[in-house]
Amino acid sequence: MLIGKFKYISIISGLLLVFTLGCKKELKLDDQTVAIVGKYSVAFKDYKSRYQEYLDATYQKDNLFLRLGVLRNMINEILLRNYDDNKEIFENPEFKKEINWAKKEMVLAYLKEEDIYSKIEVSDEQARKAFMRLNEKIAARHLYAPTEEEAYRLYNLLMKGASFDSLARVVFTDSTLKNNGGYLGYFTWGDMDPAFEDAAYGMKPGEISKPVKTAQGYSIIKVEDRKKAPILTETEYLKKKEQIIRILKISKKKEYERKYLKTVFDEQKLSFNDESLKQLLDLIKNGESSSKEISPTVLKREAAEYDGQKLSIGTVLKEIRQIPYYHRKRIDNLKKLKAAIKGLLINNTLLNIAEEKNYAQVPEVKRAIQNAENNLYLKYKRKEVLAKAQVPDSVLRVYYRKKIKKFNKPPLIDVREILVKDFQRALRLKKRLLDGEDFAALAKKYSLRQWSAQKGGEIGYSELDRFGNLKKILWDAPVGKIIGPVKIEDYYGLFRVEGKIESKPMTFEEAKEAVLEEYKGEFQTELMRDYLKKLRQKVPVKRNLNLVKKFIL
Amino acid sequence: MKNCYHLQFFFMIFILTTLFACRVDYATLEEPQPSWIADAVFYQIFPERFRNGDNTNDPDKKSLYGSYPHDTTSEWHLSPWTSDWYKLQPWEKANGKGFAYNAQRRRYGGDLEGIIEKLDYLKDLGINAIYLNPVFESPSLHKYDATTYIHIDDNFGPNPQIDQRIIQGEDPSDPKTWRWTSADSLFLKLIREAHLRNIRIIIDGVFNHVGITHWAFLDVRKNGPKSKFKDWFTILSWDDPSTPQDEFKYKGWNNVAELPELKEDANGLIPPIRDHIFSVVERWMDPNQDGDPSDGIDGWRLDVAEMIHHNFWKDFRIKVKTVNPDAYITGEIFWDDWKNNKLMNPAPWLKGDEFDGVMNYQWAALVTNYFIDKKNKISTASFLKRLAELDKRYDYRFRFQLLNLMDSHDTDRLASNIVNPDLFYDKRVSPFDNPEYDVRKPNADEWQKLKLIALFQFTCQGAPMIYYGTESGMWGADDPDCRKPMVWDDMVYEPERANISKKPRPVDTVAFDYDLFEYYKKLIHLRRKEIALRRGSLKVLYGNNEKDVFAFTRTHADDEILVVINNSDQNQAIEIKMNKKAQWKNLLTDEVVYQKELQLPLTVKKKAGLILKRI
Repeated sequence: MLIGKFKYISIISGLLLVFTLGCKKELKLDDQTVAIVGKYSVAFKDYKSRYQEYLDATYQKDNLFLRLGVLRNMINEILLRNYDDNKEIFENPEFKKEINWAKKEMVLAYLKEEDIYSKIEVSDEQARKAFMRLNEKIAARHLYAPTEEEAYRLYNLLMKGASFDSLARVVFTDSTLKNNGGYLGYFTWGDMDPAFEDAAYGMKPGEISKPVKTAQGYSIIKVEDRKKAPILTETEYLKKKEQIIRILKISKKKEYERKYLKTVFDEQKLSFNDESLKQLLDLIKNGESSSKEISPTVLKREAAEYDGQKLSIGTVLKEIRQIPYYHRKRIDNLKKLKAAIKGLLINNTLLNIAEEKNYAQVPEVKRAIQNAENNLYLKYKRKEVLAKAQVPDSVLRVYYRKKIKKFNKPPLIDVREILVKDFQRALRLKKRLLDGEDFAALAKKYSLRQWSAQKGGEIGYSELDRFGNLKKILWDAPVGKIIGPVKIEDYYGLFRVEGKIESKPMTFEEAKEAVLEEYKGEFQTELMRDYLKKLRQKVPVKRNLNLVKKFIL
Repeated sequence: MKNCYHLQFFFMIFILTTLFACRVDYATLEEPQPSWIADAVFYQIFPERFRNGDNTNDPDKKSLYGSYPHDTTSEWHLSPWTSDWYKLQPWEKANGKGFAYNAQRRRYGGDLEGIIEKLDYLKDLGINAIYLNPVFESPSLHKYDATTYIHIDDNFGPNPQIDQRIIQGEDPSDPKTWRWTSADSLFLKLIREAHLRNIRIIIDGVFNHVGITHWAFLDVRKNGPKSKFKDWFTILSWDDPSTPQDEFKYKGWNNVAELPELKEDANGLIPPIRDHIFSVVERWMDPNQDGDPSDGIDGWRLDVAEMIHHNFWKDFRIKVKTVNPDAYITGEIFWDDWKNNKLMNPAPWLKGDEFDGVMNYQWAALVTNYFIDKKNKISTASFLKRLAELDKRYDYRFRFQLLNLMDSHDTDRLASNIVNPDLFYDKRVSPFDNPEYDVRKPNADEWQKLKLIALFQFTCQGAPMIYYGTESGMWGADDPDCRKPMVWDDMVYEPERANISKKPRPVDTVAFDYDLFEYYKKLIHLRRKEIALRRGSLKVLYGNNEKDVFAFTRTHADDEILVVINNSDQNQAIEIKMNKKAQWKNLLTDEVVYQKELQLPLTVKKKAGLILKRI
């Protein structure tokens, strides 16, 4: 499974992984060396294993074109790593964060495989049970209830003689289940919630179960029919046994993970201070780079506590700032922040365990970390090369003319707003607006978004896309129309459109940056190739083409 | 023994006083919502029977297609507005089917132009809000079986032919394709004209069921299980094309085949229906969609509201109030158990997250019990106690938000209710299910009772609502007789002579009752002038079982109004002990009444009331 995960990563990166530098002594194109790049060489065994991995990951067939391609990539990586300026990348704090994050992920993945998944056991008895079930179909109907109490109420009604049909009509909102008396049709092993399945396979046709707790709630099951495959032979079982065990193991992963986490982390011992978390959330959202401005008293405030250990705003903030940006940016509300803190605590606990067991030093993990590092480096390098690439105006102009429809100024809209906390207040304000009171004056007095309230609720011309769900309502509304109250997160908003500017095509000068961006996106392979070509001119490269052509996998 | 009884009663009054007085903390008191409701006086209009303002748009035989009794072959004509109600017209006699059958085929041609024409009449009467029975396109006379919610009935508008063509060009399931018909435009004009006169309009929202000519239902009928709208209805069995019979069966409201019920799940009407209805809500509440709802209706009366899940009404409220925070939502909450004479408790809908008010039928039943019943009449003390109990079930502000009505299109008219005492409210109140029901016009004493009830209605907390024609002297048993054509002062009516009841009837002249009209006008104007009558707190000061007299004050800031009701058949002299010296002005006669120190001696005529203001 671990290998599988790495394969997945390598496909994402698009570039090939692993490369090893040859020895420093004498550089010779012998039968152990496929290429010499300046002071470096590519060893045949590294090349071969990487090529094999590449084929495995992409499901391609061995051919000369691919052999040369993999070699070219390995040579390019050496060129980029050793004959180009990488100072900016290695000093980029985001890059460092991502590397650290990747290291942790690899160690954690190994821990999961080693300490959790490998412990999953499937007995012959379990496999046999699954096999029996697989060979038997059951037709059943059920009634659903969200709570145990409601489930028993339904159960009692059934026992008193109410029909499944009549009760199904009440309990289901789904129109099929509502009208067919909760009939589910035939199912077999693995189709249903495990608890549901266990209960159903233990019942005779016509029997009604007591409420059964499932992942969704409670079900009362009535088995209508059981259909067995005519003969079950030992040979058939042995033929399918491996497959059944594999599927059973996969299905048990979540359960084992949960069990394991319970032994190392106790959620009951975790508590939050909501006030501090709100402050923290503001700091995360706004203060990307402004750590200097935060007062130490704020940083010292307690944000969470786990098992007697207090976590200050400062501590959590530091941890969160270590998270790579693309994960960090998703923490935009209190719920996600709490989840993030819990996740960090769990990760730290698991990493401590991994450290005690020295998992980071396991060769398999080391190799995986190296792969991940290389991938990240190449990702950043590609970004850097593209960012620095120069494209002459004449080329851009041609591209602009070809794609002129793409380059538009976004529609702009000017809106006034009043945001308040409750619906009744919003209604009262709307009535006052309809009665002719001044929007700006009411906004100043009542709107909870201070910066706009100060300007009489006016947001000023801004891109329509900023308004998210409201986009269509606002754009469709005539200027001057009072809109709302509309619920937006925890607020109720009243709006008035002050003006609109339709989307227009941009001139080349206006669009130039966007054109450049678009162009680079489309021609990144070509730009990369040009860049590497220039690098190669500075460094002597020799390839052992004979070896590449002739080796047998 | 007598004294003992008295003591008990006074004791009871003492408790009542504390109940009624409702010591309120004004700082935390919530204002009635919407802002205009406490000041509203409602007038209910049944459009087909109010006024035929345009006789070029009158229904024809074809327009009846899809409505009970599904007879579009036998001879048919528009019914003459002023004819004797139970008398069969020659073509009705010809089909031999009798009154009940033919009454459902009758059309009198009432329309929107007629309502617009009479807005000044309503303005003169003094009302400031109209509840319109259904106005959406439908084949029946009552229009509770909608063909669509998107358009106003073509026979209510100026040009039925053009309207049908416009409708055919639309996809009713896609709001973007909806257009305005000539009837729609005239309805928007009605709103405009009403708003110019400071009259608000709420309309009937019938969202539990539709008619068999409804576009979605027709699609289901035509395309069977393949229809996009198959989930909108509860289909019990589909038609089997291989048999000559029609096996298509579905669930109808109350098992009425003409009214297929819209489907619900645990949250009320299923999402596609809900979305459609919400688009309809927006269409009629902000027709030009500029965000300013002043061109739209001012609220909804929701038909058989208890038959749709609370969760739907919660969403509905948010939708309605989002479009217009000042809209009024009121529900028809009527029967809990019809067989056992049990009316529904409206409190579950009056928690602030569903309805602003309901049609206050429980109030009407109680008033009937006290003011109208003879053998079953309840005592003054019991009346006051039960009245207070009704209001205890919801927050204080809701008592100003309810529609206090005595009758509607679903009950016998107040005047006929008075002629037929000792029947449970709205039960067996028609010659069809009660051969003893008396269909005659009320006599002078009975009109006097009506006036007394009106006086109580217009001095109570809660928005009074009068059913069209009550002010002009109309009477009539339950549906269909409560839906006679409006009696106007510019028409000459055939006397009512024909009868279908077992009880013999005299010949009754039918004419606009100027005296009654002026009386209602006076009460309405009084209520609109005196803020204490609209928004004041209510406190019972006096109650006497033997004299059948009670008195209460309505107090708002420095204004105090004393209302005295004599429900007995004799003139009564009473003395009320006040807590400070004052003089009083009789607001109906302008006479001044003096206190003797703290005692206020009063004489109240039989079946009459006083409205006094402290000066």
